[in-house]
Formats: sequence, C-alpha cells, structure tokens
Amino acid sequence: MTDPPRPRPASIPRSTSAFPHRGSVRRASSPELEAIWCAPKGWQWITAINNNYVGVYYVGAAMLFFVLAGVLALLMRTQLALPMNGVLSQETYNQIFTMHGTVMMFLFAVPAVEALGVLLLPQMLGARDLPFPRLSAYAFWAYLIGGLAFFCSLFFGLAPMAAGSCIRPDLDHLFAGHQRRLLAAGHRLHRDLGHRRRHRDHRRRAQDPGAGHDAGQAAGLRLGHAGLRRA
Amino acid sequence: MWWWRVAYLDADGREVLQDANEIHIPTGRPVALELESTDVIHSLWIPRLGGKLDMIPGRRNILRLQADGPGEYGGQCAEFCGGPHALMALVVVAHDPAEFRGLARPPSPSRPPSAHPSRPAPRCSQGRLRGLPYGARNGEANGLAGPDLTHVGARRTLGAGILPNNQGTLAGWVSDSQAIKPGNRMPAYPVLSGQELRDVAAYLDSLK
Repeated sequence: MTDPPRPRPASIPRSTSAFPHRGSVRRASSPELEAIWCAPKGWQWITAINNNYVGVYYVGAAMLFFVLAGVLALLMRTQLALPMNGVLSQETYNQIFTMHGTVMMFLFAVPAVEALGVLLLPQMLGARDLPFPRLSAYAFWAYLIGGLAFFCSLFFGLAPMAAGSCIRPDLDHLFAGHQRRLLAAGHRLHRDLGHRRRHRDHRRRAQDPGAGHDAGQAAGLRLGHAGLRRA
Repeated sequence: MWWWRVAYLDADGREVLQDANEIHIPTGRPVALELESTDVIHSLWIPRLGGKLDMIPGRRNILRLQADGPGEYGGQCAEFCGGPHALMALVVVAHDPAEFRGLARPPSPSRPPSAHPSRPAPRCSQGRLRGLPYGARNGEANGLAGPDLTHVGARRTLGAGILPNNQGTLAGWVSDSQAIKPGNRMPAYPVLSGQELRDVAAYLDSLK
C-alpha cells in the first residue's frame, strides 16, 4: 500500500532539486569527471585521499584499537578474578591498565569521533571532500602506524606505567625516559596532525560553506558520486 | 613509599608517638585524621568506616571517622601510586575508650636493643644490615626511608597490611621482601645465613 504521489509544484523542476526525492537523479555525465572521482582500484586503496575512503579506514582503525584495549581489559579482569592471582606480574598489570586507559581515550574515543567527522561532515555540508584531503589522509596513516607502534611497546615490556585514563604528572618519575618520550611523541603527533588542523578546517568550512565552489553544484556532484559508489 | 607513617598528636599538636601501617582509635567518638603525602597522590580508604580521601603532596586533608564498635577495620590505598600500589594496605583498630586511654600513655623512651630485657640484639654486624630501613630508635640507625621499627613486634601486620606479623613472616620479609612486594624500597638480604635470619626475626619480633 503506497501513497499516491503528491502533485509537485510546476515551478520546481524535478531534475535540479537538491533535496532527496523518489525520482531518478540526473547523474554527472562527464567521463573525465567520473574517472577522477571513481572508486580506487588495487594499490590505489592505500593512497586514497577522498574522505569517503579515509573516513571508513579511520572508523575501522578506531574500532581496531577499541578491540585491542578491550582485550587488555579482559586480561585485567582475568587477573582480578581471584585474590593473589598470578596471571599477570605486578609490572605487566600496571603497564596493561595504563595502556588500556590511554588506548581507549586517545586511540579510540577521540579518533572515533574524528573518524565519524571525516566520514560524514563533508557529505552533511554538501562538499566533495575535506579541505586539504592529503593532510587528512596523512593524519590517518600517522594515527594508525603511530598507534600500532605505541601499542606494540607492550610486547617488549616497555609500555608506560602511570595512571590509567589520566596521565598524572606526579607519577612522572615512574616512567623510564624512553617510555615518557614514546608517550609524549605519540600524543604530540596525534594532536598536531589530527584534530587540531581538522577542527580548524571544519570551523572555516562551517563559517563559509560555499568556499571554493558553488554549493548547488557541489550537492549535485555529491549525489552523482554516491551513485557511482553504489554502482 | 607504599606504606603509611602514622603519628599521634596531643591536644597541642605535638607528636607523641609514631607508628606505621596501623591506626588505633577510640570507639564512639569522631577521630580526625590529617592526611599528607611526601611523594605522590595516595588515597586513604577504610570502607567500613567511611569514604576515601586523597592524600596530596603539599596539602593537608582532614578525614573524620567514627567507629561505633571495637574491632579491626581493613584499609587500602585507593589511588594508583605506582608499582606495589595494590599492596599498600593498613589496619584500623578501634578500642573501647577506657582501653584506648590505657594505650595512649606517653611511651617510655626507647631502650637501646642490647638493653632489651627479653632478647639480646642479633649478633651479625651492623655492616651486613646496612640499608635496612632500621628505624628502631637505638641511636645509631634512625632511618626515615621505612617504617619506624621501635615497636614493630607489636604490629598486627607486616609489609603495610599484607602479611600477618610473626617471626616466620619477619624472616621471610628480611631475606627477600622484593619477592613479596616487588618494587618496595627495602633491598633483599640474601647474605644472611639461616641462623642470622632467625636471630634478626626473633629480635624484631621482640620489639613490642
């Protein structure tokens, strides 16, 4: 049982309406444009810079760190299941709970929100991509590689041993030098490449959504692009 | 680190007695604990007596507790403070007011160990025990790195609330405290022979 289609006012031509509707959408038809915006193939997947792909990678990497930090939580709970349990040594346990807190906060929670921003914001704003798309792709790869390197410090027994979700300055003397440098470098890299620039770009974008190209044209191209991705 | 220094103050705020890892309080009236820390943030938590309160370097926090009945109440550091944080416990002992008044008399001046009536001092030389946080007030080794040992034999627990206190655990603690509580500031003393260890433990146990 479907409703009968409502009569459309004649003054709005169906094909140029920017709003979603049931009718067919006129797709961008230039072969050159389609070649530029087509989905990556083969090795192109790792050099993709469009936010549709980088955003999916970003969400995936954030979920990966969520699972890794969750495994650390399970290890902690195994140790805590019985009094004086000997599954983890004191030092390993302290490293694991510090890594759990740090990874959940800085490699999952913050990047996950950022990842959704990368994935969704340009489309919500009717834009083809983020400003500086190569920079956002670089930020993603720096996050993934840096985060994995940081996580791997656990396997060498070199993970920081501080204070869970809040890195406390008064426990600073408990860090060996390399642990402190590793943690600080990771935080700095992530902060500099990641959210600070991205938020600035989003702010500018929100203040001037039409910058660079005509908003109506961008919306039409976006719909065309989405159609290509489904095809 | 990772143990509790306890000092009792008189009405004028003068320190009358020092102890470690054990707090004696009277029942039926509130007791004010002034909490300080000399290294990192700790938190004192005696679940059956009240909530936890942070102990912050450079600050003095006041926690008021009241025990309604006599008995022993377990406590625990509740703020991660490094290595053996989980092994930083203490015990609060509540006494009837009359019994507490008996305890609260000013302590007699500490006697040098050799003059101790029940037990001679261990015969191993001072050199081999150097570094032991030897806070027994005998005039020679008055350390502040570890708990005051003047009345160590009278305490209920050893290693900041983690072991019962007797000659066996004292001997184990002196010979290898690092295996019992990794990271604590007292080195292990594997150099002591069995007989020396027994003498040291018996001596420490006699310091009531």
